[in-house]
Amino acid sequence: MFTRSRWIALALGGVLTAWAQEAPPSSLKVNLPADSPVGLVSAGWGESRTEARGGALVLDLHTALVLRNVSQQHIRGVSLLVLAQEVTPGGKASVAVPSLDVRPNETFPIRIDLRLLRPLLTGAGPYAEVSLDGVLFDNLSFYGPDRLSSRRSMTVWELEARRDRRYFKSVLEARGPAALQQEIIDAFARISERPRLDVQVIRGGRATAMASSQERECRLAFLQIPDSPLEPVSGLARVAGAEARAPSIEVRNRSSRAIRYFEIGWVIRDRQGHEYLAGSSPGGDSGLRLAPGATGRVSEDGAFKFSRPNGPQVAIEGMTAFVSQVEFADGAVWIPTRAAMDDPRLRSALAPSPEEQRLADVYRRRGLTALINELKKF
Amino acid sequence: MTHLAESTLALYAGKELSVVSRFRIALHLRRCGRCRRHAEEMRRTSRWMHAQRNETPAGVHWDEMAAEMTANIRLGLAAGRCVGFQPAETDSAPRFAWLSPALALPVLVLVIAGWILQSWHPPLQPVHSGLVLQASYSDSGIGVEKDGRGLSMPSPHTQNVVYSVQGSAAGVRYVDAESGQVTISHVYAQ
Repeated sequence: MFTRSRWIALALGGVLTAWAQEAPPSSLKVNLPADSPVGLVSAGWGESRTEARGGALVLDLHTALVLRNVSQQHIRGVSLLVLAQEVTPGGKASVAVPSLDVRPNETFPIRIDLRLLRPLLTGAGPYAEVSLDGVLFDNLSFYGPDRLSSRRSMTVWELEARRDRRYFKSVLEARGPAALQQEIIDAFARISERPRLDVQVIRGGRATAMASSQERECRLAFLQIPDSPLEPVSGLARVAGAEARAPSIEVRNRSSRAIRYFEIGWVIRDRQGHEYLAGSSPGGDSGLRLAPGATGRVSEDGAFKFSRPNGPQVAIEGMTAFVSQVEFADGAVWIPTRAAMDDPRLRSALAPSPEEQRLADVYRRRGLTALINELKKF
Repeated sequence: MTHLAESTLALYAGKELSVVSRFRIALHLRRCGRCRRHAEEMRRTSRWMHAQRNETPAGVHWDEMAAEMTANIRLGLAAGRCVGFQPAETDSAPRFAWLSPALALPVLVLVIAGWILQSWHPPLQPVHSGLVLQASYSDSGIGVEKDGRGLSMPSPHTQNVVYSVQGSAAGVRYVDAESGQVTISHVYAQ
C-alpha cells in the first residue's frame, strides 16, 4: 500500500534519477598499442558522471586504470592522453604520473580525475578515449607517440627527482636522520607556505581591461643562474594594474651545444614587495635551433592577469624572469642544480619538484622511517 | 562548400534557433548532404535523449500502482459502509477540506520544478573573446575557454596543490591521497 510519503519519495527519486545520469561502462575506451610496454589490467567508468549543458555534454571523469609493466625495464613515468573530442576547448586533457618505480610485471594504478567537454549529439561511441602518450624508463629512454611533448616533461621531472633524492640522501649520510627531518620539514613548509596567485592568461580577442593611459613599460629583471646554458639579455612587458601584457625576453645561448627548446619562468612583485611565480612560457616552437652564441626571443602574445585566491587583484610593481629548463638539440635536458637553488629568490620562485612534493607527503603521512626507506629504494 | 558549425546544427536539431536562422539553415541543408546527415543524426539523438528523460524511473510500474490505489479506495469505501460511517454534516468537515490539496501542492511544485530544471540546460557563460586559460587556488581550479566556450575543473580535495598555466594548457599537480602518487593533469585549449 502506498502512503503519501512514499509518493513524495518516488517523485523525488524520479526527478533525481533524471537529473544526474551515470553513463554505461562502455563510455570510456582505453586504447593501448600492440607493442605497448604497459598492459591494461582493469578500467571502468568508476564514479564518473555526465551532465548536459547547452549543446554540450560535461564529463566528470573519476576513475582509475590499473596497468601492468609488461616491459623488461623499470618504469619511471607514464603519460596518458584523455580525449572527449579534439576541436572544442576542454575536450582534450592529459594525466601524467612521474616519480614511479614500477618493476617488470608489477601492476600500478593511475587515477583519472578530470572534467571534459564534448558536443551533446555526436552519435554512438564512447564518451572519452584514453590512449598512451608516453612511458619513461629508468635509463631515460622513452616509448610513445609523444603528441603532448611528454618525453620532455617526464625527462625534466625525472631529472628533478634524481637531483632532489640525491640531495636528501646526501643530507642523511652527512648529517643523519635529524638533519634529514629538518630538511623535509623545511621543504614541506616551502610547499605549503609559498605565495599563491590566481593567474588568467588571455590570448587573442579583446579581453583586457587595460586602459592605455595607465599602461607603462616595465623593464624585466633577471634571476641569473650561474650554470644555465642560456643567459637572459633583455626583456620588456607592458604593465597596468594587475595586468601584464606581451612580455618578451631575449636570451643568448652561452653553451657549446645547439638548443631546441627552453622555458622562461615569470615572477611578479607587488607593491608590498612580495614575489609570486606567475607562470612560464615555452621558448621555441618545433623549428627552433639556437646555435651556440646565438640569441633568440620569447614573446607571449597575450595578457596575464593576477589576483589573490578569493581576494583582490595584485598590482604589479615589477617583473623578473629566469630560465627554468633547456633542451639541447641532442635531446639532453638542463635544469637548475640544487646549489643554484640556494639563492633564496630562486628557491622561492621555483615550484617544488613533483618528487620533493611526493617525499614531503611520505613524511607527513608515514613519518621519518618511511621517508628514509623511500630514499633507499632508488 | 562551407559546412555549418556543429554547435549551429545542435541548436537547429534542438529547435533552439530563431525562425529566420532555422530557415537559412534549412536552405543550406537542402544543398549539403553532409550537414543534412549530421543534423538528422543530432535530431535522432535528441529524440532519444528526450525519450530517456521521460522514461519511468527504474522499479516503478505506474499501471500496478494505479490498480493498487483504486483497490485501496474501494476497500476504504466498503469498510466505511460496513461500519455505518456517514460523513457528518457538521462544521468540522469543511475545516479539513483544504488538507489534501495543501499536501499535494508542494509535491506538484517539486515535480514541476524538477521537470523545469531537467529541461533547462544552463548555457556556457561567455566571459571573453579569444583564448582564456585560468589557474586558480580558489574553488574554480583550472579552466580553458575559447570564444566564450569552455569549462573549468574544480580543485582536487587534497593539500598542497600546485597550479600552472603554460602554452595552451592549464595544469594542476597534487599527491593522490589513495595511491600516494604525484598526479599531474592538464586541460588543453587547442
